[in-house]
Amino acid sequence: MKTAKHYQDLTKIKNNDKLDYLKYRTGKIKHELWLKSRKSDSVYITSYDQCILDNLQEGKTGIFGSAGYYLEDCVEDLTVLEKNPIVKKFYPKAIIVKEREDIGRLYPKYFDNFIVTNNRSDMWCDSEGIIDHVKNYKEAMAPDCLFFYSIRDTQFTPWNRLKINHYKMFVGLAKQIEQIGFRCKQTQIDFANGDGNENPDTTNGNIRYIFKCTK
Amino acid sequence: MVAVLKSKNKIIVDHTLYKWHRHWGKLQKKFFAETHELHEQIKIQDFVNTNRFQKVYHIKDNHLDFNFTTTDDIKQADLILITDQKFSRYSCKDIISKINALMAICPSIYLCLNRHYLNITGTEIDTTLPDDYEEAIETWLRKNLDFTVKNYSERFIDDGKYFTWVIPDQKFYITKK
Repeated sequence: MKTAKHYQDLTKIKNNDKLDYLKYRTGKIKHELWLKSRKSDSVYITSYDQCILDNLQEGKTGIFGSAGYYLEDCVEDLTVLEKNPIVKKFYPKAIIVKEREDIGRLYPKYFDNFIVTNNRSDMWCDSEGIIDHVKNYKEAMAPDCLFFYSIRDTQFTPWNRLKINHYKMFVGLAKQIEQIGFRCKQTQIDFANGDGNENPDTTNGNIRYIFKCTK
Repeated sequence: MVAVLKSKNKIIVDHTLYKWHRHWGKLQKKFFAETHELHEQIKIQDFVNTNRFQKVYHIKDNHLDFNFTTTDDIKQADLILITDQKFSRYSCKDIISKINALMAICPSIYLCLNRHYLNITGTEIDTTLPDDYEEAIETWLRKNLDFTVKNYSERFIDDGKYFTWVIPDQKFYITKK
């Protein structure tokens, strides 16, 4: 039997819609909100979604990598952008992009609100990696666009969690994002209480920012 | 144009939507073409078998099929194996207290810690630790435990594809001096 240390030691099963959907669901847990909402007279959202809705400004809204189609009954003029082609199978209106650069190419300076909530493909990078992603998102943002961005502290690498002040780390990240043409309007950083449970919001991410695009 | 629509009644869902963890190891196996075993699982099995532990008390949260004999009675155990992810999510102080309490019951612990959870509260900073995080974890344990700590961890930069959420990556064999 083969021994695996890393995913790359193994052959991924490809072109299997059922499996692709299962993988997608395990990565995009907010897909469940859409499953619940589509057969209901109500729309199921999280309190963080409500916070975003409360802060949205008028105009066009883009949401990337966040299973954002569950918000279609809440947000006027919503464009749902995803990387995984499987999304198109159950939500044909989704715009599938191969790379983040494609978002700005398809929608240059277009959106008045741009949302990225706990996007798995933004994880596993350091602050420079995050900045690179945000630079790509920015290409699709109109002047004064609001940018709602949330991540998890536990899937951010590499950093010394025993030595580096966590709050300074993520306030520092906000300052770095500001340097590429944003103003941070709001930061919410919440950590677990050490009782063995996960951090306060594994669904949306426990590090949350609202930025305004300034340049 | 108004950005927010009010066509449907909104229901706020406050519970976590994450529900895969318990079977995450099994679930991941389905994603790959080959039948396979995890390197880290074999490493633990080899450790247990080489050191001839006969009764392993396994503290776990997700499903793992080990090939050694386990016991449900911690008092009978000759080794406590901890792969429970929750253990890494306790405060640093509590992790140390729990290790001390377990060592009072059984003199040998094989501890697996998930580096991404440590200091989960964000409040227990020790600026005297090494800059290198993996070294810092080992130093933190040695500094706070009056036991022999042997490091069995392998060095790698985690990109989320190392099965760390099945078996935590930082491994230490803790015994009485």
